[in-house]
Amino acid sequence: MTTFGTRLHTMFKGRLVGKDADGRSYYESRKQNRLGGGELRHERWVIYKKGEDPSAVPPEWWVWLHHGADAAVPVSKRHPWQASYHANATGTAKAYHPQGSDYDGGKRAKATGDYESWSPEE
Amino acid sequence: MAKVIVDGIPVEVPNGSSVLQACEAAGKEIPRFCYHDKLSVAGNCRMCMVEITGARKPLVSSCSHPVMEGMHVTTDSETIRTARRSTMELLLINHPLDCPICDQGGECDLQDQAVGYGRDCSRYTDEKRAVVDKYMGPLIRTVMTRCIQCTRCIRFTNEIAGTAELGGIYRGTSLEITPFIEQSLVSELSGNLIDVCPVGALTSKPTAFHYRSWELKNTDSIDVVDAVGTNIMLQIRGNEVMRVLPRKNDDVNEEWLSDKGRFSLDGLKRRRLDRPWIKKNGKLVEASWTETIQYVADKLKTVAADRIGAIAGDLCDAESMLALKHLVNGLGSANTDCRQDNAYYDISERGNYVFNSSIAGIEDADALLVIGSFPRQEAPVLNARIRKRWLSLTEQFPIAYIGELPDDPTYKIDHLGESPELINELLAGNHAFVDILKNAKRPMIILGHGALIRPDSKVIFEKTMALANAIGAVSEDWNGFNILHHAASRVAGLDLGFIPQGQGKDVAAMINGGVDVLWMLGADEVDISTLSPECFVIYQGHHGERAASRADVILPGATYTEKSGTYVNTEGRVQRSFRAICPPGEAKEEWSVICSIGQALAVEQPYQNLETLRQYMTEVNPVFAQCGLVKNSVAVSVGDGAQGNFEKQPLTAVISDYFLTNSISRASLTMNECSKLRYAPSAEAAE
Amino acid sequence: MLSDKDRIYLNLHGQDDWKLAGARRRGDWDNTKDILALGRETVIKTVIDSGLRGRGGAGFSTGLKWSFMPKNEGPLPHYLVINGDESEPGTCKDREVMRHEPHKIVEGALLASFAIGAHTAYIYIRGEYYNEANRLQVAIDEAYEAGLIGKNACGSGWDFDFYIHRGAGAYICGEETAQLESLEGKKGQPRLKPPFPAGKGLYGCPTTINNVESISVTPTILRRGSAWFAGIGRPNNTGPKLMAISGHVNTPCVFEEALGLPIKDVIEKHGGGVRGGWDNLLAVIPGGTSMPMLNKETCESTLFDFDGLRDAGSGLGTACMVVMDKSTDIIRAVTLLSKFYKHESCGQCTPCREGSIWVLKVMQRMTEGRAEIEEIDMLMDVTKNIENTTICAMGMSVAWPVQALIRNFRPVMEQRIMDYKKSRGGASQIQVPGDAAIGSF
Repeated sequence: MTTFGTRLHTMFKGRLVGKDADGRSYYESRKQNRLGGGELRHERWVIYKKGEDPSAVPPEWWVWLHHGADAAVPVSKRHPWQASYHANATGTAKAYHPQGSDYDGGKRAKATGDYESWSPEE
Repeated sequence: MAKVIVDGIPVEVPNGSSVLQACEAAGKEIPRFCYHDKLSVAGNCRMCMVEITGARKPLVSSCSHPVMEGMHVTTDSETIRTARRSTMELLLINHPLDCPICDQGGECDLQDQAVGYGRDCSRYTDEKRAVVDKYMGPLIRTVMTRCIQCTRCIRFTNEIAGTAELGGIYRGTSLEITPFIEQSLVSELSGNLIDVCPVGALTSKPTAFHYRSWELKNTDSIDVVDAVGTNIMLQIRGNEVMRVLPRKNDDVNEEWLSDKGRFSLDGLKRRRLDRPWIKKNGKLVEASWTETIQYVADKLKTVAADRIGAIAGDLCDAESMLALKHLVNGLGSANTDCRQDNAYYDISERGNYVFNSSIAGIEDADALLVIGSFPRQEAPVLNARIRKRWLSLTEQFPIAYIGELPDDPTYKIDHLGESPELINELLAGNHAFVDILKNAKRPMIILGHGALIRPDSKVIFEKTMALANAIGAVSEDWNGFNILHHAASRVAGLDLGFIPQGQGKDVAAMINGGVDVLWMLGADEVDISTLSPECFVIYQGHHGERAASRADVILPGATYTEKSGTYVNTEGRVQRSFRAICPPGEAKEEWSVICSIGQALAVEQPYQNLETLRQYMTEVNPVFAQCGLVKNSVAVSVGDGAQGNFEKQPLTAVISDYFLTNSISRASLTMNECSKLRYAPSAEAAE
Repeated sequence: MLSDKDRIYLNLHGQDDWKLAGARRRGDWDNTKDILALGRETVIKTVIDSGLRGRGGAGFSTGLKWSFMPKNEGPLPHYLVINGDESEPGTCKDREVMRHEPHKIVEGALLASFAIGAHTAYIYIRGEYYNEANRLQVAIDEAYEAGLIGKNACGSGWDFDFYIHRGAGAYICGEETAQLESLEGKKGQPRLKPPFPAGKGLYGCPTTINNVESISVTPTILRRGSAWFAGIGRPNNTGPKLMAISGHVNTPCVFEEALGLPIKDVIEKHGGGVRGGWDNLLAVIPGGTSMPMLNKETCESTLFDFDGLRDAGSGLGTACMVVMDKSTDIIRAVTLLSKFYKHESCGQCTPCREGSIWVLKVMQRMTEGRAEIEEIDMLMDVTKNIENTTICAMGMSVAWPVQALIRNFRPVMEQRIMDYKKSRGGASQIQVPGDAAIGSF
């Protein structure tokens, strides 16, 4: 979602280039109005879906957004060995917790100072 | 002495020293890989090059070049730097740069010297050589590609360990260090290979990838797996001992450490007693310290004083033994014993139960008779000293053994036989070896526990002593009568008088119904199967074994790494260790628990803390006043006996399994694996 | 030129009987007892006066070497070890002595042993010299039978035993201390010096190690006198010497010649000239392949003896020269030598163990031209260091051929590299010294 200013900017200056599989919209300025890489070029931006952060942009569009390619890489070019892309989950419930973390049940691997105690059953 | 000028600094070094030693005397650092103080000179790494003015070749390897009077040595010049840089570069040609995954990283000679003396980059672009890793048993991990062929390991096994297990095969760039046959190393000193290896080719297998050297903090300690009193350094991270390294002490262990002392430390983390237990209704239940101390005190109040007994184990520190002895004596009992094996000692004179010649003194001896002992297993480091003396070329060192030979002693011996009758023959002068002993200026006799734990031990002891006097082993300046102990606590126990006094009962009497309350201070080696079920057993120690299962009260204690303790080695050398880590759970140092119980019983105790306890220890026996030194007892009393007859059975070895002699090593998985490989290789093959 | 009357090895080419009868006919074993009667001092002095320099390569005075032995026999016995481990590529002079003049060796061994106070001598024969060892054994048996050696050798009262030890094919066992290790049954690796063998050699006892040729000329020297021997050749480079020529000559051969002749004359006279004429000569390796090679210009002006070749930046070595004409790929030839030395490095000390294979790898690339020009300088730099830091002389053997190649044929190497680059289309990337024009040579 966007602020009001961004919406205005998009409406007057922007040109829709495409949408990714999740429905984010990618825009480009109609004029070459930004200096980058030593020359004037189009400004590029993305309108996220609600509650997303910049890491949500898939790599195919990321490269376009950062002027790495003239067009987004088609999804069909993905290789079978490529893992599917996920946004950064830090701070969310899906965040990664290392083995033994208290957030992950707290069952940790053996560590320095651990010992096996004796019990009479032995 | 020869005068040598090193970089303008005049130094005097003994004749026959190497230039490297002269440079060190002048305070100059010489890089080296193959040179090692205690090993022969190989001179093959070519790193220690120095310039000698006027020599035939300007550059010489300083480790192998003897000094000459008036020699001018330059240790730093452009030529030398170029040569060292070149050697370093050549060494690194085939050395994998895998320092980040190498266990030696951070303490690697090659790494340090590459920084100090090497080039900043390599000009070598071709592919590197790879070498197949060799199997050296469960203790040594090999990454032979890292080997720089310094041959320190070959020289160590040949010279110090005496097992000649390693050698170099092939030649030139294909040279490989190998144990020839794919089997576990048989030396008891093999762990030292890890220390002598300057690179990461030989590293510790049990602790591979467990730590980096810079994470470890050092604490000085004393090894307790045998009675040599090896000076060790405990390297800890957090609350765990990660590694044990020998400390250099030329009087005791030089710089070696036995495998058991080095690798049994994983036993420190298994089967630990970490909370007090009290037996209620035939079942051990956990209890608090307050409850337990009160429970023990109450129990001790109810029994007659002479029905209380205490046995001290082999790993005990002198402090806890003294505290226990004081408590038991204070309660009115004389039933204390530190001899779990019921060994016979004559404690009238300190010289009668210690290793009088001292370990360093072995090098002065010129003949040796070993009776009822197998030092290779009972004291591997001491055995290395005997081998060192035997190897010395200056004088012959005839050695004879009486008793069972479970293995190769690592030097050439004259095995006289296994019967104790041989002592009589020697005494009567009927044996050829007695002439060797008599002709020797400094003959040595080592009497081991194989001869001291027999019914006829008194006879053997006294006849041996008579023999020692007959061959002139005891004189003004030389005392060649030695008892070789294998229990770390034994000499301290004897020094403190932790043996039955007056009407006191010994271990056998205590076990066979002599007492109603038996306090076992780490006594794991006693056979308690005959103990009556009524007997109330207090087990105080750190590992749960048979004795703990039988106990009515368990007082968890600290291992040698977890307390500051005093130990007396077989020479009678008093040594202190320091606490490296905390005891696990609620376990406490033994002496403090005993102290609390004594307070609960209102026994008058002249100590409140470790300091005053040690002060009291000095009052009990002044030998404890001086640490680190050994005061040789000049004379031993001549046994009146020399009477009595020997038993028929031969003298047997006292250790049947080198790797499993105490509760720590028995708990260690590494030691169990070693034991299986050594003593039951067929079972391994079948698996 | 050596005249026939001055020849020591009369049966060098096996035209005569090699056994005892033939040897006696040629003058061997003639009055050996009288020579022994001269006494140790006289024998050593005669050999020193003759100026005989060790024939094995280093060129150290043989008599002086003997005089380093302890004068009086201590508790340790003395030993003589004769080095017959002739494994240097191109060298085959000792073999001719062993198979055609074995009695000269046996007699020389007796005299040398007497001079150094040894009752036992060992000869360490290269393992591949099977037939030679057999012949020598026959000669020894004959000598024992005739009472020439053994108890009371030649009736002189000197007890002397002579044993053959056959090597197992390692070049490094030709190095004197490695040979002692090998004789003792250990791995053939050179020992650290000091202590020198004269103090602590075989089994820790005083030992002298001499080349087969050095030993086998001594009886003749002692018989004909030091003046005769010293009169041949130049001062300090005296006597006739066994030499060999192999490679691109018309008649490769082993021969005996006086020292001090120009190399060109030696090649022309004995080798029948270079294949295709003298102008077709590319390089000569003077003695044993470990010596630095000489180019044609140097060969024309240099005398073939110890000092002459030393002054030319090379060495006489074993005096068995390898001649190469212009059809030789000189870089490849040196690469082959590097390969040999890499294979024969014992692996004891770092520079030789790691350096020999490194040199080989670079040389293999140089042969193809797959290298950079600055690598030539690096090669020079590294070989200089290898040469200076090894335990034994093997480091020099690794380094010298390569250094001589760079000294004499650097333009060829640079051309090879540039040709390779050009053939790969990389001419513009060639890095050349600033003052050199591309393709100017």
